Amino acid sequence: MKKSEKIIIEIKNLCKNYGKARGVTKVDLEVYEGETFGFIGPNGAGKSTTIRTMLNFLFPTSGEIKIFGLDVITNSSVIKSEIGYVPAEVNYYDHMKVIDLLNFAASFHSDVDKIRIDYLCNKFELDKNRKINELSFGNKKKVSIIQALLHHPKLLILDEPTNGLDPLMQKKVFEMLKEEKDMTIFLSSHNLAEVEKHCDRVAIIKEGKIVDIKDVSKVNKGSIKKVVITTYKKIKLKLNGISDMSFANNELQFRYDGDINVLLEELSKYNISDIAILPLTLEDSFIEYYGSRG
Amino acid sequence: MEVGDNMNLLKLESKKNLKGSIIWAVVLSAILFLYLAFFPSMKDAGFSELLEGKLDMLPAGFLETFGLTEIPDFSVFMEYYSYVFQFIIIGLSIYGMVLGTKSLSSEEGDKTIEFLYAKPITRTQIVISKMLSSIISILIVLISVILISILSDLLFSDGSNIEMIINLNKIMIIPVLVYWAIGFLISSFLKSDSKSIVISLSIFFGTYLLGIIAGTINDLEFLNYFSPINYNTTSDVFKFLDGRDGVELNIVGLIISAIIYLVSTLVTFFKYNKKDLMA
Repeated sequence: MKKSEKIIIEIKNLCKNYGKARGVTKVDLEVYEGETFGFIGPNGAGKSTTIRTMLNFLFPTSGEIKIFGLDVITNSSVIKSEIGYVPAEVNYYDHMKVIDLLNFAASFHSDVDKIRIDYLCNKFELDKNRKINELSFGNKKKVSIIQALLHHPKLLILDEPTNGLDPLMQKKVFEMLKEEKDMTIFLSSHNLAEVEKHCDRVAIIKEGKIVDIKDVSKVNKGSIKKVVITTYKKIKLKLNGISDMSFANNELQFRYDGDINVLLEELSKYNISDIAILPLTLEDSFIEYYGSRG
Repeated sequence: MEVGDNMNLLKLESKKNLKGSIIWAVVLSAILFLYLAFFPSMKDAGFSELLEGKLDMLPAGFLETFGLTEIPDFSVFMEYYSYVFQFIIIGLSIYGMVLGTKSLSSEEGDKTIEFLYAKPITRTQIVISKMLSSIISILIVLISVILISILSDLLFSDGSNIEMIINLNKIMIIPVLVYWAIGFLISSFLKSDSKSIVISLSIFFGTYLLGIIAGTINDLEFLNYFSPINYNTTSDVFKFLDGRDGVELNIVGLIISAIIYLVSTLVTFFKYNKKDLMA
């Protein structure tokens, strides 16, 4: 669901090819102010290429990207004064202490004070006097998230933000992000459950193309249910509204779009061990795109 | 747009380069000082006459390699100084070139550049900051060399050459800056700094060798223009500053130096502003 009509990120006909398999061939996206936008897709689909082109690390082969209504190539520096970026892999100046790195990050902005740095370090339980090369992957990630939030960015771009963090810290990250009022978040992730939980809308990219954009709030509110039945005898269900049926390891799975009472009445004719009727998740809804992922 | 500290990257870079520049300053100053410490004994023992007699018998290529095409009068402090100083300039040129080639590429190699690129700083500002910080590093080495030269003049000679030393150093910074600018140009094309030192040394000694060949074989004199360090040698510049008859600066060499410098710098800015940062 759009939170605002104001467009923060606008990607039109983006194409970036370098060499053989990698790159993006056609990306069109609009991200609105205040929304948390998920960006998912298999490895090599073009998620990082899109993000790196948004940040002007890469130059597009064709197409254009605007952030805050400004072209990302000609106004890169102006745009970045309002952006926070958390990369998938954190590579910071190893010889620095955490506090030196954060002070350096703060020095690019005029409105970051010591209190803000201390507040974020305490919140993430990060010892700011440790050297960066002594930190674990998870702690480096925390440094990355803190430096991105220092200046209260209007747009936060996160590439696999919770990768490497324990579940408690993952929860904390999203709590912290919610503290930032009106911040637009662009979140690339492999973790569909994470995207489903936190994002308003989500785009899926496959082989360099956006194949679908969904409103997360509508995904699991539809009438379609996922039914999982454990049974040791083969069941032959013939009902209207059943689709995508599969049977493996004594588990019968299918989608059902119809009256639950009719289904239960039909099932009562069989001897079943267990049954679960679930709302469709984002993963179920996107599984078709992930076909080749296994 | 809220603007932060414009000097932050310059400060960071200068701090990062400081250790290296101190090491180069100490090593080059120590070499210079040790050589110059021999001056009094060389002067007294009539060493130069001895040298002149022996050196005449050596092949021209050998003399060219050691910068001895014209046998210097080692009993004159500045002649001896300008002979020794050519090796210091070689050292400083290598340092300048290594600094240049590493400047932009090292952050791409260790990927810290992603941090900088995500900040409100333009690529032009990144190049300017890195250029200024490496100039500061070169100046630290050069100033310590000048100070040691002056100290040596006071200790081992009569202290009358201070102005000449400073002027000689001022002119001899030209080839150092040319190699430094070539280093930056190369750096803007590299994706990591893993080969910076090898590339710097190959180019420096490659061009130096061409200069030697040019000096040895008359038909190949044009090769001299591939060796910026040979356009104006330390002894030629000294003789020019000393007002010796018929000794002029190689103006064509100076113009070529300026062209290499300008073109390298401009292409560096142009290339770096169009460069894709690969993952």
